[in-house]
Amino acid sequence: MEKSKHKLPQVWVKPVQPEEYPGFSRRKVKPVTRGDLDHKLQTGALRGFRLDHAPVAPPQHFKVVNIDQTLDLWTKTYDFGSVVWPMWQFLFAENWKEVIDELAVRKLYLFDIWGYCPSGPFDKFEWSEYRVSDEKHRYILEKLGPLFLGYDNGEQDGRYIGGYAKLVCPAPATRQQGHEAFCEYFKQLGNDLQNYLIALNSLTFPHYFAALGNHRMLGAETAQALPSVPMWYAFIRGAGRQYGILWYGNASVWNRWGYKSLADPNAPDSHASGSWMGPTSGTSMSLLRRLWYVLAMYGSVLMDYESGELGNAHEEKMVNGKKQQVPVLTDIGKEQLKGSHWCINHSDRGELHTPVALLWDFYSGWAPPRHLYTNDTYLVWGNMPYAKGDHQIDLILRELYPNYPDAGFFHNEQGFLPATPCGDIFDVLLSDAPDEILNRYECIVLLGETILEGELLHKLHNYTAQGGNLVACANQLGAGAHELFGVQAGKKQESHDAVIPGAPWPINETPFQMHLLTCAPDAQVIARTWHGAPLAVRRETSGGSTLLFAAEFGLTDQLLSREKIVNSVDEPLLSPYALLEHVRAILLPYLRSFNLVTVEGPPIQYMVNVTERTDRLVVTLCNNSPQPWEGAVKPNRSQIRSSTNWMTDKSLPGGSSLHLQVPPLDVAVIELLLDGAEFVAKK
Amino acid sequence: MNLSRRELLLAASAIAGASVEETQPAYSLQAASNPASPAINPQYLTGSVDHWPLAELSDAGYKGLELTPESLDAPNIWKKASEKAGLHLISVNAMHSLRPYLTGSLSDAVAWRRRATLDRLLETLARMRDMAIPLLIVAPSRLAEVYQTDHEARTLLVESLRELASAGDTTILLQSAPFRMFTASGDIASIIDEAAHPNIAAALDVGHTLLSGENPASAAHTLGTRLKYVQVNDADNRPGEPGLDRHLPLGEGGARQVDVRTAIGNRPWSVGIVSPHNPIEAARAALHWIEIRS
Repeated sequence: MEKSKHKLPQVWVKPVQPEEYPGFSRRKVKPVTRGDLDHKLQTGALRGFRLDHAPVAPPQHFKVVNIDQTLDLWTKTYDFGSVVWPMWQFLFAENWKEVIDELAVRKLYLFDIWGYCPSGPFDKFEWSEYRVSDEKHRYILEKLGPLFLGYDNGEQDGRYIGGYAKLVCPAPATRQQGHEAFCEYFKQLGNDLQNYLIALNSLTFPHYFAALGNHRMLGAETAQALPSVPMWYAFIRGAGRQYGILWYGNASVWNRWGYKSLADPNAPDSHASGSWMGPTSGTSMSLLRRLWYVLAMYGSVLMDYESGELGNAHEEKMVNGKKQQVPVLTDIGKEQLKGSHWCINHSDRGELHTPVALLWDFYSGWAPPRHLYTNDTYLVWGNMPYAKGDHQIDLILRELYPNYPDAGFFHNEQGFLPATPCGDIFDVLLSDAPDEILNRYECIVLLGETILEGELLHKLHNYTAQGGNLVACANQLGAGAHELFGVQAGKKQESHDAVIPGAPWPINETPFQMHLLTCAPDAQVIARTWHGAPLAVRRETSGGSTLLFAAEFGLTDQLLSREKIVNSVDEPLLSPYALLEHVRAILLPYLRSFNLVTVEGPPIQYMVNVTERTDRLVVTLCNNSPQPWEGAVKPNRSQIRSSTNWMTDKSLPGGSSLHLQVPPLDVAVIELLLDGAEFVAKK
Repeated sequence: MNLSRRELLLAASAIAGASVEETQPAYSLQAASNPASPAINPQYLTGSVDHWPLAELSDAGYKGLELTPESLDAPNIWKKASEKAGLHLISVNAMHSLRPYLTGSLSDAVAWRRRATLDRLLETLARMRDMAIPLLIVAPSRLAEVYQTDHEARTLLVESLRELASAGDTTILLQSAPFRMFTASGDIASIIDEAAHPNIAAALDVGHTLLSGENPASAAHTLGTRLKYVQVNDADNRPGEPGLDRHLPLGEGGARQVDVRTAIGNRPWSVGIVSPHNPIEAARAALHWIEIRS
């Protein structure tokens, strides 16, 4: 099943350029381009302005104060970056234009104006609904132009799922109705905010935001009690690549129980406000640190930590040629500056190599089986129960990102950054992806309640004809699809054994449903039942290949009733189904074979970045274990000529593989220069 | 048979003055107390605002229609067909117009949105009067995400109900709905009592009642004389299930025939199930399940 090691893989190495996507010029609200961002990674500075008094107190006329000093502190005294990410009240201050004017003079970006909250009265001036007038919006655009990036669609997907989706009466009966209800909510939000939005996702719906046509960037505030990051960015990156929208990264100091504050690093943690806060509360420093480098290597064009960069204590510093008392940097502030400088010094990070697309139906509305916003489990669109295909998505993701449903549920932070047994090599696409996007991927795995027929079949037929490799299950094949896989499907039957490649004896499987397949002469049976019925069939097409599993979604029959599934903090979430052993045995090595490197050693999160230079790889190893990691990185086709550890900028030896150690809960980024081409850059 | 609005109103309110015992009368096979019963909500059934199979529903035994405010906006789509099929207009179910944040709610913390919600419902009431539809079904909202107490929400709800009830002689029926405030029938009863307006009464949605953990028959008893309309649908209320408001076909959830029949008594009632893929069969099966037809 493994692909030839001699044939160089065709690898897409180009970054997303929104202006090159069809329809860009016709879009009323255009995505942010790399040119808008000055062709470099931008980093975040302040998250709000100081007001002369709380605006909720009468009279509700208020002003932003200390504009110059505040901007100086965050962008000059400490050069956190050029991105200002403020709460919305300043837009309604008497002197709001002064703020906009000053940002324009300083050429600072205004990003993701946040704090919009449905049903919050405006005159509370905090978590409120507000509407941006045409006049105000026009002024901002005239003054800031491309420096204005957009208003915040901030975790509203989670808010919708947790607070509004179940109020739809009657609940949707079809996925399309679920999508319509979802879009109604965001139509309202978009209209309030000039349809000029930045998506700060909290769940797995970035494709739907991108498809709305009014979003300019996609991203997330990772950690908190939000989803597992590699799994989540497979969605965000996939949506960005499918629809031509750039993505950003951010890490939050919050977790489910409270937030990290290093304002006084010696203060005891406190629960006075109802949430824990203090030096040991919230997201750990090590997770904050790892997230920065992982998100940067994922191709984020803008990076930031949520808060906590400055402490209560002051120290004397020279500011504009004068001695001044300024707040000291906390460890969070130091890490952000260090991470920013690292990105500047290692700007040729390239593109994350994601040769495999996980693809399912546009209307699926798939969300993780559990998440922050509801105690419910296993829902799509927030108001429809998982079907078996949705469980397939979940269980495949559990293989690719072990423990991913635990993110946000465990005190020990497990699940946020899991090891990646196949490498961090996946993007999620939806079925409306056009040919030119599909063709960028070496392999597409069809998942979920997706029927391969009609336009999708036509696209994937072309895809395999042009060298693509397609994976599906027999129950997903619609009219006309069987020929592509070289099979005819017969009736369904139950089975409970499988003979897998290289094993003389059958393995016992939990009972499952399968389609009886009759194979064409050019189709190769690579797994079967003990009685000979094909379980996995591979077929070489004119350029690529197909791989078909006979078992329904590759899953067992239902093992557990919903009643027995408990959703609790610090406990894993059981699934009612399990992935079949023969599917695991065939599929995972196959997917792993699309990697450009082999990583030997204990489980670790790893990824590869590529550029046009085909003899160069940048490998990231993120050790999410409290033990030191020791192992080796080996390019699959070449020898290492030389290498550099980007964390220390020290040279490392060459050879057939590189032996490495990664400290506990830390990250290493290694540049490998090879003795020959490892891939061909796809045009 | 074309019924006047007055006749429908009289039928709908026939039980209003009865004793508690009389409010739980034996289930009436003939639905004699209201000639528009059993009714059906064709928009719920089909998931569509048009292409309703009204003739087939009439053939199946339905006598009335429960509509939605948006369907009142486009009577050209269904009115002639309903008249031809002899289906009477019994009620308008405004749940779809009471979605917090989107369409607003009767206790919306955002003042302008609550006003807009009320104005829209007042327009609906005006249309209902023109079409002689006697009953408007509404429900409480969820608590606003921020800056609202239960007491504030309740006060706004009561004020809103009074305003709607004062707009004419249409009966405003308050029903509980899952995932919102005041899901218990006792809460609904006390809000109706607090509103203290002759045009305010209660409706009971069987699925909603099940999802809030109540037995429909007990809920009907709690609501007593206030209860003037029952909507029949099923809900999966098994432990571990997410309790979705799916308006399932009867028999697919936890509803028991004896409880549903007790809740209906001889009140006007409708079938509010969702079955977009097989609407006629599901509608027929609903009547069969409830044994409206011998």
